[in-house]
Amino acid sequence: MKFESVSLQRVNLSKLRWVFPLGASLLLWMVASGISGGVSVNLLLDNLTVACFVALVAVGQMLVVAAGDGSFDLSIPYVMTLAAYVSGKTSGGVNTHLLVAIVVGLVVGMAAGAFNGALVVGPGLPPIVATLATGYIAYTIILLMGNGSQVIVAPGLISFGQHSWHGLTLVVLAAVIVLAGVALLRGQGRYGMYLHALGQSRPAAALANVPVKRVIVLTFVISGLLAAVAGILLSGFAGGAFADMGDTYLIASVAAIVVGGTSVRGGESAIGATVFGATTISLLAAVLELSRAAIGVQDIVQGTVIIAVVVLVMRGQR
Amino acid sequence: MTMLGTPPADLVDATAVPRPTKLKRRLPSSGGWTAGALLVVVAVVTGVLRPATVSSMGASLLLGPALPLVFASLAQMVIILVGDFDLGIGYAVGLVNVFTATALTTDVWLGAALMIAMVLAYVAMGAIVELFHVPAIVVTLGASFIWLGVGLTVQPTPGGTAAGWLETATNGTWPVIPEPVYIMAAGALASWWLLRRWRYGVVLRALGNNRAALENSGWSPVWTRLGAYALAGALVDIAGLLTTSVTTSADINASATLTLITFAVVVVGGCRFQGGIVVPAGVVCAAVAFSLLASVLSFMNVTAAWNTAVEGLVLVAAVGAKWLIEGFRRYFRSREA
Repeated sequence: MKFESVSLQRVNLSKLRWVFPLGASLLLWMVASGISGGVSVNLLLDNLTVACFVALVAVGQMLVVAAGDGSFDLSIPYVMTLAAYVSGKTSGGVNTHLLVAIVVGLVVGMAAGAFNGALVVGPGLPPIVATLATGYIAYTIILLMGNGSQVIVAPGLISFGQHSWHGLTLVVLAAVIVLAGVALLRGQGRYGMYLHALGQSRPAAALANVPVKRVIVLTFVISGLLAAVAGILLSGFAGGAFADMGDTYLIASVAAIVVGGTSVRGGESAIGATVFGATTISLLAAVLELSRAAIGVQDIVQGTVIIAVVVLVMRGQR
Repeated sequence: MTMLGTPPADLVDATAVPRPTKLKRRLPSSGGWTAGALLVVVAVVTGVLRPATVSSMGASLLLGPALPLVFASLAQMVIILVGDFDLGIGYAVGLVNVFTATALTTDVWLGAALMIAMVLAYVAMGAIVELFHVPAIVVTLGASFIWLGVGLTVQPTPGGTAAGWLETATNGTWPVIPEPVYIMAAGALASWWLLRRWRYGVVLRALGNNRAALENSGWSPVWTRLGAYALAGALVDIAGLLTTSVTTSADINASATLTLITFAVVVVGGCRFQGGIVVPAGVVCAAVAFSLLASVLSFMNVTAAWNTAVEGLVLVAAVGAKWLIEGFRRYFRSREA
């Protein structure tokens, strides 16, 4: 039997890939400064905090995408909100059991990820459909829990989310620590190797004794966990959890990967490039907002940028 | 998505013997029986809960709102047929809804031109997917923002009106059975003929099922995908037009929830997510069943919040059942052998 379309590609990513999204971020910072009149470090730092939420979910999304076979995690926005809701409800809006509440929220995120993974490796649902189903079930729980209004979070979480040292927030610090942990997991152990092997060719990975199902489930669990971290931090930053707080993060997570230059066909991952992709996306949104363009025009520009960049990236890789 | 990574096992077999053969007309499929059964159950429950619906008038009122979902699902079915997913279909239908409740009402030609533009936009998406090997999910996700943005620019807040002729078009009194049933049957029959009987329909199905066989038979995968996207765009146009005739107003956000339901409808309707298999009648039955399911839940005084969860659960249950049945079949076959 011949495996014609199955060929192993080079794992080796261009080490300098992160330079392009970093350059784009700096360029957009300059444009934003130009619009608002005067170069402002605070503008950059404000956006850095917002970019951290995007970066956290985008790295989770990137790992899922790297597993190949058209994998995407569409449950991210709902898992973010669900984790923030559950953790807010558990704490009851007071500081006494804040740590427990945060742990419960993180466990909910991982459970949602495990459910995604189980649907994919069990009945063999395409990841897109499995994660959509999980997402909508999560959304129902959100609606039933919140009665349509916001959920109050503990004051300790709010002061953590809003604490800033010369514009540099604790959110940035937390995101850096979490993402460093993910980078360690991907770079040091077997996990990263397995993940890339899986994304490049499932049959080849299976023949090479890669525990395919376990790696897929673990990847979805990590994505769920990162979504939960982002959701809980966001609820502290925003001063409460809202039913639609995660809505913009699905497209942002995909856009950050695309702008970061990682292939959306799977088989490779680049955490640094994706993080700078996230800052680029956040700054693009900031520039559009500063330009006072109509909300419809902002949507059109964002959609067009995503399609244009993905075409450019994919053309470069052929 | 066959172009992403591994090809299905049957494709690998086919590439081993490259010969210009006729493409197979029929592929094994579970058929639309699951969807038919689900529809019967939901319809009976509806009739028992609300006996007044068992009349031409009552059925017409219940089935009318199902029309947009029927045609949106048929569009999603065509996209899935060639191995892709359309994550922007809800906003696409919403955009046509906006066009047909604003431009079409004042100027029929402008409205028609915008609807043709929508078909061309779908063709353009197909071209990007095929020529640059970009996963359709990224293109359709990006496009969904463009649909939303254009829709908000044309009609920032819900408004607009349906043209008088459009409003009456779906409220006519037709012999024996309610008019929506005729429209649904026409949609199912037309799709069935186009995809299962027409000679080019076989080519469309081959792209999602066995790309190598398609190319060996001398067909162009590029034109095939463009054709599929054009057909999907036309079905999206019909879905948007019917949305306007049912709701008589323009609201880009009203159709956003269609996206997930179309996936559930297509899989319950008996199609295969990996592409290649279509059962238009099953998809139509499943679309009506899902639409009635929402009514049943509201008749039972269940909060609307449960709708999305029930849809998600039906989807998971349908796929789980399929998985179990296939497992049993394999088990018994292995015992016979």
